[in-house]
Amino acid sequence: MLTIEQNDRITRVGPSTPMGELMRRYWHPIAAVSQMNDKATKKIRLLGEDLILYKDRSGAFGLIEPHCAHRRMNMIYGIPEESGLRCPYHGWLYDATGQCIEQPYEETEDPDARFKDKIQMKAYPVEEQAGLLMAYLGPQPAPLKPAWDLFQMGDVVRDIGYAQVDCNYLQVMENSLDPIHVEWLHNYWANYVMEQLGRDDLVGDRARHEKIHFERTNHGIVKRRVVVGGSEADDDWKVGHPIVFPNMLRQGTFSSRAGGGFQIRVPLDDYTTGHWWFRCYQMVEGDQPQASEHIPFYQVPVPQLDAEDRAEWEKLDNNSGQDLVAWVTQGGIADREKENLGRSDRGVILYRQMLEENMQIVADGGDPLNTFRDPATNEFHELPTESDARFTKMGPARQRGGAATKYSPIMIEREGVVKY
Amino acid sequence: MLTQEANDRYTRVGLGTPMGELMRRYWHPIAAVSQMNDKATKKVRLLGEDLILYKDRSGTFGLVEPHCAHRRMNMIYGIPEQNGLRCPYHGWLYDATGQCIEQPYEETEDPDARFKDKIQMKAYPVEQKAGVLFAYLGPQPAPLLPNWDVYAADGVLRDIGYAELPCNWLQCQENSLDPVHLEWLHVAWANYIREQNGEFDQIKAVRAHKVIHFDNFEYGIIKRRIWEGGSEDDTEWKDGHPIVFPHMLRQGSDGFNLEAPARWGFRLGPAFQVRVPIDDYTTGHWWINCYPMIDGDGEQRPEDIPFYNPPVPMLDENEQPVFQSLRSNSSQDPAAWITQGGIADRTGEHLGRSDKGVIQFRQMLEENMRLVEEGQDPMCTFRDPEKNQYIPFMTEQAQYADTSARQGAATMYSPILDAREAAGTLYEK
Repeated sequence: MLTIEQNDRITRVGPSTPMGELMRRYWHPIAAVSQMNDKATKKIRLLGEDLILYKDRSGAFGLIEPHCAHRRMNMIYGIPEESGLRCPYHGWLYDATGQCIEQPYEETEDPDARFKDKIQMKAYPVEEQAGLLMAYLGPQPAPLKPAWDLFQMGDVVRDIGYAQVDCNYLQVMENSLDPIHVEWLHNYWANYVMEQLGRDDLVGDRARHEKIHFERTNHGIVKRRVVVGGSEADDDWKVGHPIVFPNMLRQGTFSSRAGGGFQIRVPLDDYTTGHWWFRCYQMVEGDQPQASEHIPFYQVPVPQLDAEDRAEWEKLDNNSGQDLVAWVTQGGIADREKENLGRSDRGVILYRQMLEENMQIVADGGDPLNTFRDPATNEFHELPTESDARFTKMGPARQRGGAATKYSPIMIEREGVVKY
Repeated sequence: MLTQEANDRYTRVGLGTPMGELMRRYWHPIAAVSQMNDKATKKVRLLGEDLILYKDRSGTFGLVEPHCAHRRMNMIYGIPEQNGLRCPYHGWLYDATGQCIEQPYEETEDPDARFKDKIQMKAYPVEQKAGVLFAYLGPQPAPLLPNWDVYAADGVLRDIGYAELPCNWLQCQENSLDPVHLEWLHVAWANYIREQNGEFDQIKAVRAHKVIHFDNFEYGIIKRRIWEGGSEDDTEWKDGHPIVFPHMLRQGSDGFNLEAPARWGFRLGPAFQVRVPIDDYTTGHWWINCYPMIDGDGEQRPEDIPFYNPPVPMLDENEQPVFQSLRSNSSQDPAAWITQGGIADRTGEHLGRSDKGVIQFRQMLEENMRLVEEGQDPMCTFRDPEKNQYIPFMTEQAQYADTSARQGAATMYSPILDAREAAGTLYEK
């Protein structure tokens, strides 16, 4: 249970809030490269700021504030030039740093006019990583983009899923520090979902947790579990399941059928999270290495209720659909003043402590966890992940990788569409 | 004309407000049983509170606050168990009193864990009658759910209509204390609507009200009228039309003789309009109608009683009335209520002789709010089962020769009447 003040402190992400300042120390995915194949501009919201992402004619990406500094037309209608983005209203041109570099009529009346030198739009650096466009909104110098294993691997094919989720990022992250929900939300409730879909044949026994444990690692937290019938010799306990600070869950092993992935939970604002499913699959015969713009992007649907409160059961047959409704229905920002944490929630408490420590580090002017500034120590960060999880084996074999992979274009190409 | 304070006092229904406290002394319809045939949970809003209605696997209904006390997932996705509702996130189970009775992982780590004993969700009693689920949000002990004739009559079929209206409940109820609007809204304006719809052959003669009068009675107010050309011998004056406190209008036949003739060309038994305050700006409007059984009808189980949604009149994209949707009382009235505003600004009203009933009803509200403040039971509280066996109302016995009467009210959308009309059994030969 938190006070209102404590809850605000770890959930609010606008500029100059403690959590906003911590989050501004990291690179965040804002779009897939392939989302920009058919357009030059895109609206972005990140950490409470509205921005415009653009690709100029040289192929360089830029990220600037939405309204032209002249008469405030929105740059979503901007014209990409060889270098930079031009406002369509009166032709002012901005480079990737946000500096105004042309004001055509000012220069017509006075070829020596220097008005443009005084015009600087807010702009942020954008860099590509494994088909994702990453933005950094914090103070300079920006740290390096972390070389997490799945971003660095060769010989894999990737796809990128996304859903905009109507709730605060912390609800989403806390879910990852919470092994017990797998037994209920993804197992017992999933059985109920199967019943609603008329598939009693897919109802299975519920795997049960015997114990859970959490440890700090160099990059975050590893969660461990022993399920009834298992032991500490199992991967679930021995290797465990890594949570990468501050906002990623690692899933699966890339060598398995359904690949390995990151779930990345980007705070768009206090009440909205951009949820990314970044996934790598071992190449199969016929696969070619992907250029960034060929890495497929797909939308993961967020299950809704109809006007009579009937659920979309067919979208709730997979872990991602189940998680999404848990997070969203906790409220825009979960009211933690009214929560009641038990033994099942030790990981949540540990993670909140880690957030608090790192907010403090930033407030003290230091670099928080997972800041990399030396290229020599940022080549390949391996994140060991349970590869032979007894838990998932014990669950009913009805999910494809247990997640948004239901909608993955690569999985659909390989295995077809999941239907009930 | 009311002061702002007086208007707030009559209209605001949140927890701790005088009207909210009065309304919390009554059972309110929250859903039709048949609405729960295809689902186990439903969002409910009542008196400003968000709640989840559920049906567990034993068929028992429960009403709990929406967020699990653990990590606050919404119970709309809850799993019905044999007894109670389980949160899908971590399996905490709650019984119908809101008491947490299982916390599986807590009990795994410590079989003697008593953490669950401390976890109590807010929960309210639910009772079924006449195919309607009623909730009571007030202090215990709860009074009895009244056996009004509409709910307790035997030998009838029922159907249940519902519309969610974007306005305060009092506008709806004041309408029922206002006989004169019938002459204008439902005859003169209805004629204009018929004209707009090209139904010139449907134009009705407008009759004027000569006298109106209101008498308090045990369960509310009887309104009486004499039409132009009529007299005190007429049933509209002698028998009158009962308004049942605090938020119901009684319609249809009286509750004494359910075999009454088909006064509308078709048989309509006892009927209620119930105006449930969902919150300060929203009313759940129910049409609960009885129809005396005819040959071939069998008893309805609660889950067989049909539910339907009369349309709510809205302006079109050019802010113009949609006349096709305004053909019955059940949309003409909501058009009046809704356009009075979210909460009608009664500091700007001007009441005349036509509004005596409205004033009398407000006095009755005031008296009953006072009773509650003094710790007493308000009107229409039943605690003695002997006095709650069957409560019939007398209603005006006017005959309506015109068989188009069905089209003049929510009855135009009634599934039971649709079925009878399709079977050729609706109108008396």
